[in-house]
Amino acid sequence: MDKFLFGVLVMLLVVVLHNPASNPIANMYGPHFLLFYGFLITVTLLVSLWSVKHDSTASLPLPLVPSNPDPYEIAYLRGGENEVTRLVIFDLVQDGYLQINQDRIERSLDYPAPIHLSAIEREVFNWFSSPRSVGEVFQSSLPVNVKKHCTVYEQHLLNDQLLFPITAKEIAKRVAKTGMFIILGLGGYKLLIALLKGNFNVMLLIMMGIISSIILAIISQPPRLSQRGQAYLKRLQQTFEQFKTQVFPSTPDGTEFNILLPLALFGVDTLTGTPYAEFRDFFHPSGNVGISGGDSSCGSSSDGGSSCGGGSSCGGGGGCGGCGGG
Amino acid sequence: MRWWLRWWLWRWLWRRLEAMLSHLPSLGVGLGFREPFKSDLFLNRQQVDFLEIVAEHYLDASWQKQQELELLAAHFPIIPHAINLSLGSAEGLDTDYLRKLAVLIKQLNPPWWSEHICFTKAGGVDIGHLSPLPYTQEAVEVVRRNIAEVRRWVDVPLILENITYMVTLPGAEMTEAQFLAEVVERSDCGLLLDITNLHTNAVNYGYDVHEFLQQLPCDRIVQLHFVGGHWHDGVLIDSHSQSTPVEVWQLMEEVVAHVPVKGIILERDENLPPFAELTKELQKAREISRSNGRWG
Repeated sequence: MDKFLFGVLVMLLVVVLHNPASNPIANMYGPHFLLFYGFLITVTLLVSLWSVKHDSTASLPLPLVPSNPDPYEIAYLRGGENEVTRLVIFDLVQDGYLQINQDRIERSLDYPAPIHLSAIEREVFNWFSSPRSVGEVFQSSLPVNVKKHCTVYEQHLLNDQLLFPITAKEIAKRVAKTGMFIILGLGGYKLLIALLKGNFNVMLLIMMGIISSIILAIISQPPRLSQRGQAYLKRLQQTFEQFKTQVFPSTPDGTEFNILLPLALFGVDTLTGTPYAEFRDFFHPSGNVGISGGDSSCGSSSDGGSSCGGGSSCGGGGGCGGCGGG
Repeated sequence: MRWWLRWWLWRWLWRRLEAMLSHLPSLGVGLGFREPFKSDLFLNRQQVDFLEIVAEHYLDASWQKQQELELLAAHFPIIPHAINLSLGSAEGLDTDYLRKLAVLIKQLNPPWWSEHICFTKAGGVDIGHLSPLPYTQEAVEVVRRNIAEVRRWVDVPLILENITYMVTLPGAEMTEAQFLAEVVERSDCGLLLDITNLHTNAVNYGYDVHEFLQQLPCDRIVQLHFVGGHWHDGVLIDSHSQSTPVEVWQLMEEVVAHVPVKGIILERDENLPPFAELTKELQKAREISRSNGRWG
């Protein structure tokens, strides 16, 4: 599709460069040009959208559901390092290393020996040398540091083609650049011609150029997950959907795995009404429920996509809102 | 048709069935799939060799149920188990139902599928219950004729299951075991022996299961069902709601020792326990099979 847009660009350049001051585009009657411009903008936006919505993985069969699913890997699939960070914090709270004290998380007074912690858990535990708020968690370097421990998950997901393919990303980037050049170049050229001819009713032209550029910049962001990745995440969520509504026992003994898995799959909302609701409230204050992104205390994936699992089911109920896409 | 031609044809069909049943794959120990334990099932996948689905749950399936079926089929061998075909209906089969069933079976491409020896529809009315047939030659002929019709739609081997009953119909010309034997032999089908049903009927009607087994064509037994029922007013009810009683385990031991069964299914429907209890029962069935050299 990038070649198609490139062809359009070349055609426009051929028409314009042949005689920059007088050519069919320069001489086109204003309203007619706006129609022509609108048509080109629409085509450009559609091509750009198509390039980020379709990738070669759509036709591949889905991987099997693992019989021993790794909650950290699933969390990484769903929402990148922010979801993993949240899961590790929950794990540490559950195991008594950390505790929630009002609106902050701090080390427990009698936490167990950290020697038993894995590298990723130790990274997070060490970061809580002093009490931290949820805003600090996602605005600090912690998620970036956590990501360093997630390379194995990233590689695994890339090998399974569950993340948006790098080649497709490059194509989408090229499409976006060419599209932007067409929109701004053609609009700018006509604006210049109009001003040279003494026509100053150019507000609509400027508005069209600016608004379509913003839309193009937004829609040409590739998702984190490939089509296969989105379908696989959905399959995992369907497979383990019963855990979303499972009533957890009042004591966490022996249930760690069962809690981590739904948390990884569906986000902190699954903790509502459980003994761990405090953790849910910490990351997902009631005022933020359903508010999509933008909250200062909320992390988003550093890959540029939302942490809702690439636009699939948003982690099952309000998962897009709140903090870090949980 | 001349007698020798009929004899030759009968022998040919018999050999064909023998070859067909002996070539069926051994599936192992599995579960009757029920939606409430889907998540646990996937976390314990290694302990479940295959699944049996209730065909009716997927005949007019919603998009979600279709997705569920695809998910299950991607991870387990699946045997469709039909309930409402009503093979004993004298007026013939519901072809609309049969068409949908055939589509489902074709979609899953199982090594075999199963139905019950009973009727669930009479005079166009759905009874909503597996009702016993009279043990007569006429009933055998009805079932045989209906199965011949089924074969025009579905070419996957069919195995037939014995049911429990609360009433015995008058005018019987043979025993239940003889009736089952006659049906499966005349219609060239395998047998899905529900040992819990066998135990339940034996308890409620006071007959000897060992004598019953001796009258069955054991070489036709392909699959077993097992589970536990509950007592109500002195009657054992086949409710699929309890863990398997010791008598059923003993029966399984006896059958598996003599019959090279291809699959055993735990059919738990109600009062679902923690999944670990189900896998414990599966493990016990697997040990019984292994100790009798049935499969690894």
